[in-house]
Amino acid sequence: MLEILNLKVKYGDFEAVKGVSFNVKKGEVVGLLGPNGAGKTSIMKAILGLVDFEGDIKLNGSKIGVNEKNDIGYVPEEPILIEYLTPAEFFEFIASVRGKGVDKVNSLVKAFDFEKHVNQPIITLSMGNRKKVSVISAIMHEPSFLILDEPLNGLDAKSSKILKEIMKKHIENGGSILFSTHIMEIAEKLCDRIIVIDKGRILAEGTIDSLKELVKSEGSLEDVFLKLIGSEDIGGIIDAIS
Amino acid sequence: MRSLREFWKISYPLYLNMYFTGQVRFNRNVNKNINKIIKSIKLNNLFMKIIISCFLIFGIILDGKSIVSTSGFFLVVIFLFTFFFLNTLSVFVSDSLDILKILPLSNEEISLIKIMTLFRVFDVPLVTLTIAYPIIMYYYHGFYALVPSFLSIVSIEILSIYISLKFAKLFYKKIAYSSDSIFSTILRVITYFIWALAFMGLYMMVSIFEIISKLKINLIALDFIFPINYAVISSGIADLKAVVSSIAFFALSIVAFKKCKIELLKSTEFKVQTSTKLNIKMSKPIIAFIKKDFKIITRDPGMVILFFMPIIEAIFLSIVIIPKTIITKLILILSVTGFLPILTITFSGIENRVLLKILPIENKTIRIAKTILGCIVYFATIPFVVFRTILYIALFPAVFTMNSVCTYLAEVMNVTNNMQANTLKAITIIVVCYILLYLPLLFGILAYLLKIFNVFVVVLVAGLIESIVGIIFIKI
Repeated sequence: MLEILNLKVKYGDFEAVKGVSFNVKKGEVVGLLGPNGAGKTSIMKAILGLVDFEGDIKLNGSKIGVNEKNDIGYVPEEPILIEYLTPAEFFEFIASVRGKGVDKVNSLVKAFDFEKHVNQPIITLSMGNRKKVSVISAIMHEPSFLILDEPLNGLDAKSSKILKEIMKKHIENGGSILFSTHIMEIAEKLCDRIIVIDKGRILAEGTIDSLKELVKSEGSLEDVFLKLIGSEDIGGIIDAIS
Repeated sequence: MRSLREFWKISYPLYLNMYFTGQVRFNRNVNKNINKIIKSIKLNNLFMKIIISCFLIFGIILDGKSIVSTSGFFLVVIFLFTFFFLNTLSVFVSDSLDILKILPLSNEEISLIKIMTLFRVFDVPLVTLTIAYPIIMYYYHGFYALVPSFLSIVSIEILSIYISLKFAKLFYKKIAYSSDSIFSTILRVITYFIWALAFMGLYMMVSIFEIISKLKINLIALDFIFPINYAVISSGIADLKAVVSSIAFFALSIVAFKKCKIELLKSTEFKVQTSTKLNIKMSKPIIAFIKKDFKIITRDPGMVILFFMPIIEAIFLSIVIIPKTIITKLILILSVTGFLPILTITFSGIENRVLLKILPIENKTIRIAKTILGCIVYFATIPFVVFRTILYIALFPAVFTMNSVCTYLAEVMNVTNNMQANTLKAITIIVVCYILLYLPLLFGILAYLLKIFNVFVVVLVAGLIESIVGIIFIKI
């Protein structure tokens, strides 16, 4: 479904992504794991053309243009909204531009327990509620490919559970997800495949079992991850803090 | 209680946060040249404050001699403060300064910090005015003008800030986000119109004072009325009515100052009661963009005024100016259309370009929407101006071209999230706007001078030829 070949992203002299290649198949959840500043968000932004990049990015065999964007739902880490509108006005605008999404929006608003905020100015909403606006607007047009950058950040327990269920349903319906998170338990539960990235390069890629095998660990994904990025020994740091 | 110096220090990052929030309010997801943007915003902010301060000094020198023009000057001060600082003040009616509440600070201390933050918004013009006004009045009217003029200007400053704060609160709490029924929307538009009219009214009052000044009418009989009372005492005249009235207004400004403190403490109460009904109606993307832009514009006090200014000017000037010659007709047209280029660039500036990149939308669609919006404002002015001069209609192709070309330029030059960070680019585009808008008129003037063709036909034909460029730019 998504193919990324030799992707490079630069911010001035700083190379945030250094020739990354991977793919996301149909019906697959791929988790991008990495420490802060590893390049996860830059990869996601490059897919949507939000940053300048070198390399090839294709969705269903085509370069991502105007039409392909209607097949993508993007939940950025920091919600991209129009602050002066209300959520209802924002959803209406997004649905009008996409030409679809009206049928789904009501059920999503109810699912996320968001009815009482739909006519409040976005600028006055809390971080969690802004995230809900971002999530609803990203999935209401039922895209086949979801790009979720830390989507659970700021969401309450019920909304997180609902989003995870939506993700599962999305996969059952043949969609795909590229997903980044810092919460290893969630990645372990949701992802079919993990890509560990650090300093703009892929350190390892595969199923959770194959990664455990790679680092010869029987522990959790967190242990595997820390081993891969070379931060497994944090005892000294903890001692220093105490 | 900590020292005032400490509070002053604390207020600085709050002021910066407030100012930047105000500046990048249409596009928070800025990820390019952020340091450059910050530097540019800081520099332009200082530049604007200095310009306003110079304007104020110039105003005192020009208006300080007579009571009438000093009264007009006081109104200018209120107008300037309200107009230029309203957007920045939006932060005071949101919860952006709530960070203070989680710090170990008492309500009194929070209030003090917020007042200092508020003072930072106006600092350079306030200090300039407080120092320059008494000195110049002392120079014009002697020693007895010194203390009264100092007290007058301090009082005017406090009242101006209080009015600005009240306006900001009223705008954001009651007007900008009223409920979503059609009746409320109509009511909102009417309120905006009155809002813009009030601004224009203040501007007109200043003009009336100018006219009275020129007619040499003595206002001493009205010396108990604000702001004439302050103008009288600032001139060193010990008129009893003016003195009593001024004392009353000075007491009022002390109350206003105290109220400012209370208002600032209450600022987090900005919670709008709205319905839970979700009523979404899809429209064509172009219409969706126009509707969205209209909503954004009518929720920003500064932009509301800009948006309605050409229409208010059209109403006002078509009453005042009775054009008999080609020159007066041109003055009328130039005055009404003078704001259109600023509107064009404003429409482009409010677009969240990051959001657009996520959506399946072609730039062409956005350009068409912006061009239509620009033309709508022009169309709204036609009924008022056309009965004074039919030549105004002939300008339509030029208005279209200006909107189309300049929207394209704003897009490629990335004049998006805030004008202050793109001053040079914005000025360049505005200059191009004026050239495109007035080029057909220039041909019209030539035709008039050479007496070879009908002016209307020449302006229309020149505009139509020019509009080919407009069509090309919209289709790119």
